[in-house]
Amino acid sequence: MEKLIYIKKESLKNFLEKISKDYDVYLPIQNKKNGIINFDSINILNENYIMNLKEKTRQSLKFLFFPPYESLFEFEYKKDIKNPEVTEIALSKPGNSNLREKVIFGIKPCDVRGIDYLDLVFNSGNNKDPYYLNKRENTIIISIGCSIVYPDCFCTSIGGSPFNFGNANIGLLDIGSDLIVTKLDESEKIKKFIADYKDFFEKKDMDDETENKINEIVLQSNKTCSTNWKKINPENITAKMESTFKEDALWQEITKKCISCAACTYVCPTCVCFNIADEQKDKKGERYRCWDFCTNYYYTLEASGHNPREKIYQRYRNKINCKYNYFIKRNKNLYCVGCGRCIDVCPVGMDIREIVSSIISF
Amino acid sequence: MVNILENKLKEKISSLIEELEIIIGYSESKAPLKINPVFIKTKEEIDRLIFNNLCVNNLATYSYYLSADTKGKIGIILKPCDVKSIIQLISEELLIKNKIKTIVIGCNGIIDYKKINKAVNYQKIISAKLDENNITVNTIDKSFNFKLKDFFAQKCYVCNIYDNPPYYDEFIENDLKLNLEKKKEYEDIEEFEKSGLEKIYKFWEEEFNNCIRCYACRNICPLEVCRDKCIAQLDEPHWQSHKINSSEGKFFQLIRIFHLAGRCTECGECERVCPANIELLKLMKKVNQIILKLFDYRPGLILDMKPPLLTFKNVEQNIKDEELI
Repeated sequence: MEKLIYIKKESLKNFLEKISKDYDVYLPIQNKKNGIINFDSINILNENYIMNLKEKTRQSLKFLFFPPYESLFEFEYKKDIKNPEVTEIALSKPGNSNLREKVIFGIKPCDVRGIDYLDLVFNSGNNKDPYYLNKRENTIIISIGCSIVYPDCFCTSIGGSPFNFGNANIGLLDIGSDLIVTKLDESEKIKKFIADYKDFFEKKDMDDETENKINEIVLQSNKTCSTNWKKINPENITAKMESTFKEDALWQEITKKCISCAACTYVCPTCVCFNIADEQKDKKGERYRCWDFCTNYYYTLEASGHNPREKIYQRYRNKINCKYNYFIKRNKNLYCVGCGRCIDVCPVGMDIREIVSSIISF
Repeated sequence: MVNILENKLKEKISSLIEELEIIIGYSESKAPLKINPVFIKTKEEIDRLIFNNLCVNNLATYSYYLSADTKGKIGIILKPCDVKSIIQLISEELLIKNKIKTIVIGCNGIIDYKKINKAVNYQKIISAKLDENNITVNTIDKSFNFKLKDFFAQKCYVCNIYDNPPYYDEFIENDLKLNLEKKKEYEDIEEFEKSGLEKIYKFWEEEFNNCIRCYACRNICPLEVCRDKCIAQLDEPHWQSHKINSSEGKFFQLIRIFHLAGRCTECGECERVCPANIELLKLMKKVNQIILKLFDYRPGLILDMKPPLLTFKNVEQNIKDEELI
């Protein structure tokens, strides 16, 4: 009979505290004052900051690996008074601020997928981004499947599922009293992790009752999620995006209410655009990168003053095409994970499902 | 009752649609407790229009950019408080009066989504039902029943123009009247200030820790028509750092409040849309409170009055030279 590995929910707190002695542990933590849930260090937990594994975080996981602002290096112009025609530039890289390994606990499968896509951008072939990798490497990802599916979730429509753990190291399924381990990767790192904390990973034989329970939860979540939107076929959608690209009137119509803020792109797990700037005071300065967003006027503004995407509909068209066309051509996958965060935060009720649907039915 | 009002609205729009190029109004949304702005051009689309206590959005936001993109006249469905934004834009000569037809509906209060969200302990709202006096809100495992009167937006408690808009082209009367216990204007600001500078600073420190500089506050504001020319995003000259962190967020907000001093009509859109739930309206109100004291001026009430910060007097009544030093 199949062996079942599980973590008892009542020992979860102890488990997390125990691993926080050896790892930097990050959890979805809710600020009770304003209700916002974000991934944060276990160390900030107190009566005002509580763990919340139920709902999606406001910010996706990219916040940890690709922060809104990070310093790339610092520079300083140096001159020797005896040799004034020569200017030397001294560079200093920010040190590895943190060498401890990380455990990120309680990630939803859609966010795991988001990280898989970020890896395709920052860590594929020869394109390796050291700043990203520095944070991304040495991370153990423990995901919990979605026993609860919310109305703005649509991962099943675009090739995901509430229990598809992708590249997560450990996948858990919440059956109420326990967290059942349904995915465990084969790496040495994880074998060691399980062995180190074996007191918390209990084992028993799979019984009919538990098996039925698991099947029921998986079935129900998939069912609920699939009613939130229709299935999108990546190949058909690229063709449709191409054929509608020049239909300006259509794009104008469906993006009329957009106010071109960054709310949707900044909470998106897959949006990775950034801007690089130098800031200098006297002889010292810093080069940094910070998030940028394609729905903003300045994104494509050229030095000449010409802006190829002057209007909101042109910029929004690029955003949708990036996710539902260009990325598919490069990586065969939709560049959207179906988390629904963009729908949740939009000030004017833009719903990416409605937008894409109206393009499909055009 | 609500349907009678909606029917009146639809009738009115039917009689106006021929002369207007486009009409901005409210329509149903799939998301609970929210509505969608809708842009209609034809008679067939009129049936999509709705009006109820959830019509929070200030549609004046679209007036400036849309009027630049259209040849004909634009109709905008507004609440009496939203008209203030239009008045302000016209008095600042940012909008041409003849380009806009203001269709104002009497209002009996609007619901503050964030207040309800707080009352359900910030759990995600799955569905909701609204009737004349009550609201039923369902989260994933619980159902809540609330009295509507406890969940109106802050501005409703000081509103005195709900059935008497300061300006309109068409007015649709609402049989339901706003029936709230009035609060004193800026009472909340005075209360907040009692906590002392140190606590106030700590409060904003914490609030802005969540700011991601998404500019939703700026872009939703009906008066910030400068969103594509914003100094916060300029590269050359590099007025403000583009870093996304708490201190730059605060600095950007300081620019905003000074920019809106004596202009802000306190519609509360910036606070509503903030994905970091920052209480931005407090800042706006503070500046307006000072403007009121100095110039005895409330933005957005008188159409042909020059806003005080767009002009000057040789001697200001309420500003004493010695106080300036």
